[in-house]
Amino acid sequence: MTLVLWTGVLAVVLVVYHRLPMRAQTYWLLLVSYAFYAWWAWPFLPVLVLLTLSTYAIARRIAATPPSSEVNRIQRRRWLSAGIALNLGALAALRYGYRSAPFEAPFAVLGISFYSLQALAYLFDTYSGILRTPHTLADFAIYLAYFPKLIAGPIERPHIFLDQLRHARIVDDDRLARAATLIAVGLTRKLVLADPLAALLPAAAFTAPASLDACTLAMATVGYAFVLYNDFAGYTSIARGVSCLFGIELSRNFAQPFFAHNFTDLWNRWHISLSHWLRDYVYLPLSRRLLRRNLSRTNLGNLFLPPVVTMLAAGLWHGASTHMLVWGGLHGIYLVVQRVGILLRPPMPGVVQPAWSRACGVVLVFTLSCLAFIALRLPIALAAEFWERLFTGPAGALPEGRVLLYMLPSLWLDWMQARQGEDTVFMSWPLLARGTLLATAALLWLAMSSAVAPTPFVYQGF
Amino acid sequence: MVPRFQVGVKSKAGRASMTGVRSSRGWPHQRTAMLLPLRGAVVYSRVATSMPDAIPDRSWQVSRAALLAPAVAGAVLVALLGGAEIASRCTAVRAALHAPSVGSPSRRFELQLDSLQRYAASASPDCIVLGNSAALMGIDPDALNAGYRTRTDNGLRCFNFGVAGLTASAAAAVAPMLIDRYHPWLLLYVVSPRDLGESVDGPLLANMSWLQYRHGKFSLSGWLTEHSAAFRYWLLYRQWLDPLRWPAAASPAGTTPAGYFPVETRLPLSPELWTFTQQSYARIASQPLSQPEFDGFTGVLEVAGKGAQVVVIEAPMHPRLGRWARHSSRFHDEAIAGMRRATRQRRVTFWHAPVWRIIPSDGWADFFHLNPRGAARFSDWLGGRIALAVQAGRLRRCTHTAYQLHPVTAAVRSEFALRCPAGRRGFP
Repeated sequence: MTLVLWTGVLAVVLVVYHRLPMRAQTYWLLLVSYAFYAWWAWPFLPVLVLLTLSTYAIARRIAATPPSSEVNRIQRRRWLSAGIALNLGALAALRYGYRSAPFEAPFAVLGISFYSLQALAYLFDTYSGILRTPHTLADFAIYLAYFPKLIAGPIERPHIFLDQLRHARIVDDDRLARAATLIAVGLTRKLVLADPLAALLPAAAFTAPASLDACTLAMATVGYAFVLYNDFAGYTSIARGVSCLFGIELSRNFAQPFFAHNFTDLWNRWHISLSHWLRDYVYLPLSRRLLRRNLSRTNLGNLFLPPVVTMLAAGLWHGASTHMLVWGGLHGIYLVVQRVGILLRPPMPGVVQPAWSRACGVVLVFTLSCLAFIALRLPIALAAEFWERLFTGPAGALPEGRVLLYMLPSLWLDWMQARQGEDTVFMSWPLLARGTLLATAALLWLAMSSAVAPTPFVYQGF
Repeated sequence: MVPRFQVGVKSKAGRASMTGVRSSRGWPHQRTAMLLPLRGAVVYSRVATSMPDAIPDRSWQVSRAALLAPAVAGAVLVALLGGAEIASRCTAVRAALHAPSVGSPSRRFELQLDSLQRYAASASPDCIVLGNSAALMGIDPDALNAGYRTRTDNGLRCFNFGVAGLTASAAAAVAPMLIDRYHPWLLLYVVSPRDLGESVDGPLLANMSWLQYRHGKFSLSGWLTEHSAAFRYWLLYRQWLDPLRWPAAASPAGTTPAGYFPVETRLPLSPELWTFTQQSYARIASQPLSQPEFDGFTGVLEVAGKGAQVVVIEAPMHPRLGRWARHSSRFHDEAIAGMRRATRQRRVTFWHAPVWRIIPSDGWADFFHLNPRGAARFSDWLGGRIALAVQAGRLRRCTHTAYQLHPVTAAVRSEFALRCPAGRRGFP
């Protein structure tokens, strides 16, 4: 029913949007986005509006102060620091002030973790001069509050997003087909793969892992990875598809992460918009600063600090709790170990990694990522219990085989998308095949959504 | 007004022009300039001031061709649904599948419905036994038929529609459906005082969308359950996704073709079992009679005037438990008295079985339920009572029975017999 209601609302919004002149379209989008936010979390709408106004004002001040003199440079730094403090302060106050109920309304759709990072990106890019042309307040406001990406991303980069607002947002046959394909893939990932698979996982694995055997826990670990991936990738795909209907392209968030053959590759495939944000605004500045002191390859500080600090920041962004830091720390360690390995055995130039080696890498990365996901999912005491039981508990019987029925289609979908490097691979299929696939998907949406109660998107809680 | 322009060239070969609107980046001079050097061309330009105040290109530029894929998908979807519906109605396919679901919270209800569907496929049943687990395990239609046959010239095709936990309110929702679909001339309602106590399961069963739809309250799922075999199978097989529910959903009925559920095991009537039984009964008896359940009971009696005769039979209860129930609280006596009063007001027959005389001591599965030995004796007694009632004219049987009557008997009986209603039996 909710899906039908939202589809109806979206249709009305679209009809009005495409009948308006270009400039008015932006205002209409802004109005709809604020209404959307107010619908879910009206007490926090003033926070969004105030952050928008203050960040925009600070960015204008930075842009208006050329870095021609030392005084100006200090002035710019002060304004930047004020902007960072403002956004991080708001993020910390709201996100961590209400950490006891991160998945409950209105916090479930707060979206502050996403729009505050975008506000920071705008400040950083204005400061560094990447954003040269001035933007209107309305453009900036829609950059932060654009409703398809408001509650769970992707975390857009300002120059890419704002540049699209300058041009006519045309929706033609190709873009409509692209939007439909993205929405269809997203719904399939969410309703057909993530939710039913989540229902199949033993609830005790995440409440009393000590009561289960190792095989069941291993299945729960792998199953949870697929649930999390399909849930979040499904959301992103739907958000991108909906945005396409407004003629605005949002960036990819996932690129078949389970096919990653090393951890750098993984972070170029998993939650791309966040990992690239962290890379550009945490990792690279820190690494540059360290390299400025010592340009050697064996600069130990540069070897360890940037990946660990970046991944700890990623953990902290997910939640101010020990287990999130452990999750981030584990990934930091994985990256450090990988960098040490590369340092000890540098890859031979021009030598292509053999297929078996890549396959081993894929299995290793997937296994270690799954183990780290336990810390993402469970409080640290339960996570420790989980790991202990997983490695030292009785093996037990073979786990529920039905989970494979959800994992294999997920992998097939990834494989299809990886072959063409495009999420909308099905657009190139013949008409009848496309129609059959869409009909089957629609049938499965209806069937699965009535069989398993749909659950909120996991990343809505952030 | 947004100034619109038209620039172009006019040559011997014809005329080419372009239109547009001045954008924030100014006029498209480059494109205009490209046109200028054409030999023999007359360059012209003009600004129109009467153009609408809108952007030059509409942002929605979708053609009808974009609808082709959804149209194909729609056609394929219809074909898939149609194919599933046809397959679901094929006998061979149905034989290979589990009993379909009607969205009931009780799987036993669905299994019994499926068994009844098969049972009624050959001929309408003469009577349907409706009740809770005491009926399910306590009445063997074959033994009842035998008991009836020994006292009359013909038999009685009965189906036992006992469902564990079927309270009076649930029975009231189910009874009209059974009468309407299967047209028995006799409804034997086996009821125990427990069925009039506060219940959670009963209202759940009564409120399921299919029964509500049959009672005139429209819902899409109710309509689909009534009319679509594929949907009924989907209601069942979606439970496959739930590892906790599926084993129960996939378990076999375990009943005879006539719906009787024989429980071969016999529990020793131990002190532990006695204590457990007392506690479970006391939980119900400690509360007053439930008015919705009592209304349900009278609702079952209402079907007496709608095509079938109703006989209410007090469910068998172990004599020791019966004595204890009568003396421990007023609940038992009030329930029995209320049922008697209601049946008397509606001129419905109420039978109390003398279990201490009929059921042997080894005929009990536990204090509430009979084992096959006890069920055979109880059913035989019940068949005899029905035969006597028919012979005495207190019950009138209709003429659509599958059993052959003696011609003279048939001629005499037909004078008094009910005309059996004809119609569709069950699902399409």
